[in-house]
Amino acid sequence: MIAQYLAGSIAQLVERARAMTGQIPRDLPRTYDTLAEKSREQINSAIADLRWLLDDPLFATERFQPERLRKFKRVVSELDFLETVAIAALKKAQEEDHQLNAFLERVCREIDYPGVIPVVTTLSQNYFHIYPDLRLLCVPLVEGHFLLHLPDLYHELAHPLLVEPDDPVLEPFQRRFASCSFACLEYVQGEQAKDERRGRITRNRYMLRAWESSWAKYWVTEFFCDLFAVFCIGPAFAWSHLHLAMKRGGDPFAVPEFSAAMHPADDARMWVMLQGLELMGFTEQSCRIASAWSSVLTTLGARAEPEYVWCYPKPLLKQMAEEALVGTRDIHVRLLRNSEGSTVASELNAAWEKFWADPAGFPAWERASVDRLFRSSLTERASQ
Amino acid sequence: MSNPGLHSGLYSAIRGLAELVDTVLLDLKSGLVTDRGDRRRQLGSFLIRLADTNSRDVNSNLFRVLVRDSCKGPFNPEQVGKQLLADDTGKESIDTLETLAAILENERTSMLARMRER
Repeated sequence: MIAQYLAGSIAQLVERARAMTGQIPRDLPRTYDTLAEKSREQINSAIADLRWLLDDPLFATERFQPERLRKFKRVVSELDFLETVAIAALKKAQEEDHQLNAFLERVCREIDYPGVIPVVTTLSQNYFHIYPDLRLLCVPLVEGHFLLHLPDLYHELAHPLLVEPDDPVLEPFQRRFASCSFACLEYVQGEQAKDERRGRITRNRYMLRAWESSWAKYWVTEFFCDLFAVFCIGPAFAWSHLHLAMKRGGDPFAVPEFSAAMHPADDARMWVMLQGLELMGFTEQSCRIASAWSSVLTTLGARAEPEYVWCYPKPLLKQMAEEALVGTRDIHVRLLRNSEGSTVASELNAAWEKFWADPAGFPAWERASVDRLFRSSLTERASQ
Repeated sequence: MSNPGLHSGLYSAIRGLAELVDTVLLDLKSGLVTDRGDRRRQLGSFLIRLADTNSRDVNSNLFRVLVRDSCKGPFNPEQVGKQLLADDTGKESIDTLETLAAILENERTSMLARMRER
């Protein structure tokens, strides 16, 4: 039954994959070439895999159907993903996407970004995120009309740098990341051993496992990307974090108890960002943001429990800030300076200054500034 | 970064290892042991690193935690890793790799569900 089902289903899927290639628009600006090419490449690879599953005599016997079915399911997932994310981004690209792409190109040029510049799409249904494999950065539909969250683009740009294999230019950054990952796991495993010696309280055992999973899978990555953003754009990124935490954040001192949490606690993230700012010499701005963050915590009535201090030890967080700075410098990314000229980073920092100087007047100022910033990015690209 | 992107990096790593395990399983089960020996060695070395709690390799540490969290019964990656490197595999190694393949498939599909936030 399985073999018969797969014979029909695989043949149909080959046709579906071919139809997807047919949907790739041929008249998009060159910016989209990397995404179009990557999509074609992955679709072709999926088709080759499907034909192998269909034609290889090995799969005629019952014995190999488990491997065949697993492989089939992986290809289905990959094609689903390409259809709903990559091909959709290409198919739906419009003027606003073109503007954001010109803007991101300018950002990347200004910081001497050492990776392949991602394509931006406004199809995100879930804030900012990036698919490093596709080099596709997703932002919400109207994000290009506003300035205060744009510093988050710098965080997203760091993700591909951590996972790109076999690139000697990026390895110094990746080595610092690996060293911090190891330090974090060593810390949690040390705490697990101590806890076991103390008599192994069941709740602690599950909690420490959840911390270990969180650090190994997600947190070091998130802290490193936050720090990369701080080093490139400075205070604007920490303000943007405060902005996001106030609008959408939960308990700023949250600690996972039973299963891994994807994001570190907002307070730990802010603490690391402030460390990053101080390492860069932005002490005055760091104090201002720390004071604003303290008001947020007071207003929320949030309080750190002893588990929070246990989960996020400050020496470890400080080490992460220091190592990330060395790693970012070693891949020759241009870091923000105190006397920055007219760059996107300086404009986004100016936006936050303006926001605090005149909160009520900010929306009107922002409308004009967004327009100017995006127009200048397009002009700059056209002149190159 | 929000959930879909964060899961995406991890998803790629899981998918890559799942591919490798299935390729080696096909070789072992079909007896084509000489054709893709490099894959067996690659997987063997990886499984030995997976068992080493002092490893500084980011992926090995990640998968050690992941396998520990998902594995219901005993799973000895070091033993099967050594068997693969020594070209001394049998039913036991195949069974262990089947267990690993099932763990990875479960992780992959649940990761996909989280990416789609179902």
